[in-house]
Amino acid sequence: MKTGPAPVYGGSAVSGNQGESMLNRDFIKEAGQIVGRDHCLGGILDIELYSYDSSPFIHPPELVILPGTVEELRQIVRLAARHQAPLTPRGAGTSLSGGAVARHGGVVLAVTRLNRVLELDLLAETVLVESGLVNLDLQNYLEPYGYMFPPDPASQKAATLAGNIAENAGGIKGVKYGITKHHVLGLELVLADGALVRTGALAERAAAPDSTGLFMASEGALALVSKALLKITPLPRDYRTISAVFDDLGKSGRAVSEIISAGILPTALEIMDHQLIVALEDYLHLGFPLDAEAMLLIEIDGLGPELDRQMKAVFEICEKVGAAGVSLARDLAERDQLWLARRSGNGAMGRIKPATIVQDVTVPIDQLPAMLSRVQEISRRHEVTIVQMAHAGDGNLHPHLLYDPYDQAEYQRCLEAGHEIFDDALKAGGALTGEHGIGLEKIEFMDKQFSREELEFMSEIKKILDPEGRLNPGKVLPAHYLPGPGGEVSA
Amino acid sequence: MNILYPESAASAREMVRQSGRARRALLPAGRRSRLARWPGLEEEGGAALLSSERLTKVLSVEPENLLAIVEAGLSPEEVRRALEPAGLYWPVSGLDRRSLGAIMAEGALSLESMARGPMIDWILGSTFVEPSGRLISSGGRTLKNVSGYDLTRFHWRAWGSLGFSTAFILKCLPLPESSRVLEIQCASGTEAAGLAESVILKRIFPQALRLSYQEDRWSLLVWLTGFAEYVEARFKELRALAGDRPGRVHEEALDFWNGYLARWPLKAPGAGHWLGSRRAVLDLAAHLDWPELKGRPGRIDLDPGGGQIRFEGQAEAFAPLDAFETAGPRPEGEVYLRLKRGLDPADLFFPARLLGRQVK
Repeated sequence: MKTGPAPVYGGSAVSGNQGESMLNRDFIKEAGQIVGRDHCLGGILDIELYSYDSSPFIHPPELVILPGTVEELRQIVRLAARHQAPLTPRGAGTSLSGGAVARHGGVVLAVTRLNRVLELDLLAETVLVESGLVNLDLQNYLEPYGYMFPPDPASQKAATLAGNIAENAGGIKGVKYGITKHHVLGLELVLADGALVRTGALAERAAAPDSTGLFMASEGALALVSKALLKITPLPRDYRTISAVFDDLGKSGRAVSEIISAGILPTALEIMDHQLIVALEDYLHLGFPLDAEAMLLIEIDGLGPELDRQMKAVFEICEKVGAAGVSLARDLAERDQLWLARRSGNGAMGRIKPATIVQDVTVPIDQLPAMLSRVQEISRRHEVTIVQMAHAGDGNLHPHLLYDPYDQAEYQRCLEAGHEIFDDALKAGGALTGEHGIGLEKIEFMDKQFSREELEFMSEIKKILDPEGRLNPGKVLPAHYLPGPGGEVSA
Repeated sequence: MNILYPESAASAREMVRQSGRARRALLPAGRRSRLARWPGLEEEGGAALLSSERLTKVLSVEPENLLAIVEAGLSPEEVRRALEPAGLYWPVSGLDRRSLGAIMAEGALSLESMARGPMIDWILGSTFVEPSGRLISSGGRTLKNVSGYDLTRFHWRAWGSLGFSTAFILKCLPLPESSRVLEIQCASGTEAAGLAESVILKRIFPQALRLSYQEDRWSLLVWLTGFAEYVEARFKELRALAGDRPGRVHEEALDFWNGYLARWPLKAPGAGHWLGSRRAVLDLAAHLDWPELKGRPGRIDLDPGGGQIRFEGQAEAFAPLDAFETAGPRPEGEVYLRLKRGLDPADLFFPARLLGRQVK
């Protein structure tokens, strides 16, 4: 056991929450009556388990409630409204931005028991699900029918669709298949006052205004999702998986730009930098070239006859921009190994340093080579280890800033480097976050991306749908734009 | 009727602000808007249309980023003309008579809805003037962007009542190498519906799929696009499904569709445009007693991808169908109503009393 000063997570030591408890005995008793006492958790260990997500932020709730039906979910929301209790919606807790931690205490409302597939309609190419269904469980359910749900975040083994919707999850297939919002046709939602509403294709009227999109990436701060009608997509019949290694990270970025400009839309276009290649080789022993500065993992899918010509073009582009080697995965086993490596990135980085701040800035694709180089330069200047991987085809960088949580100075350098990355991404015409969400992590940078009027407009929407500011308080918007326990403005 | 023609986002903002100060109702409108004859408008003293007719600039075309930035008064055809030289394609076809702002406002469904989804899925961001006169930009030049709330998508099918769009950032695709429509003649609506179901269940994934009835004849229209090898392979699969049914191939796909859609002015007696779902459209095609249509004048267009049907001269045949409703504004839905009340408390921006008038 390492000893020393308290570790640093999320900019502050492990902390309690602001404000006094709003949960009295009546609340707890009634909640237990609604969901059953076994699903109303308040023990020390339970609170500890639900006090963190996959971000560095730790804030314990006062109570964890796991409704088993939509009606139970609705009753809990109504109960919380009567008691003015903060509600932090939660799926599997895989948020990387602090979206699922109870910043202001109160109740964590976890939807993981709402995990059923309700209806599959192959003719309509839709599936109706409860929101707590795990992404990978849905993929496994659909696969025998020849379909997939394209969004596949790295956390798909655990992440729920509620979380995918709350963060508008992307994943590796975004460039060709789009992201979560492109595959959600309608939602069933519980509003802050307990009203049950249906939007989009689930609404009573097909011609009514479609409000579904407002809730995509709203981080559970506008409503809780109970069900979703999802569009499903035929599984590709065939694919080609190509890896290319480069002696320069910028060259790999240029290859990405040229592939897109050539009219090829790969399923996946992933960059891994030298440090990640070394860490992965150390972890998985796959025979990766340890002298490579970058590796590009490219997958194209479709029908066999069209793939060979695209593959040839990809080889030519990679060679033209100076790839040291380009190769095609010879069989399924080799393809699986490459994807195992890509999906093992986060784990492998633990071999370099024990703690990570993962960013996910986005830039227009033509800015990618320059942005990759800038992050390298920031890493050198701040003396911080930054491992780079990127969903390069959609300009989504994932710089991992690695640190030792017992080294306060290194942590501070990481924060400063991270701020500079935010600034550079915005200067390049990009965004603070592509798929991880604002959460707690990026709130203080919102006024760099948005004007005061835009933030005020978002604040008004928050106040319209959650006037007491009790849904996921303290998230998405800076405090001076938020009502309720997370904010400083009146409803 | 006053019609205001902003020439920039800034002038649109100023016009909205002035109207707000004068407490004058504004109706966001497209280019040659039918809103000028909106029921009840004549009773609204001082009300004005806010038209995007002069917002027609192409601001940026970026093939390397697969995007374009355009003003909201352009039509999809004008966008197409701007994109083609850059090798880009924006999959919103068949709506060339409308402006982009109008498509957004109406939630009008493009030909490609079957495979590509509606226009809203091909917008990365937008700029709009909200009802109190603030100019708001949402989204950006990247596919992935979850910074803050998505302020673009809730305008879909809201008839401009939550804001006046001035510009859009369009997500584009590489221009497809090959494009082909196969028209397969069928003996009945039931047969056409059965064939359409086979196309879907065989996962052929066409760009568009329409069931068409005209001149006492049914046909299934299937549009394929992509790399030449892809289109050829899918075409062979389709021919195998069609069996010995007669068919025609249309190599100039967009010309074919423009001709097909031009035949739907929807002004004849007994005409209608109804919305439902893919399932409802296919059920309708399969289960209506189609022989009763025989010998009656009129046309039917069924779009499973968009979940919509249009008909002319056949209104009685559709009258009892609960699975559909007439297209047009529905100022309904709890979330929409809360947003409308909250963002436009004076109800000046396409006032609900007018927006609801169209609904009978």
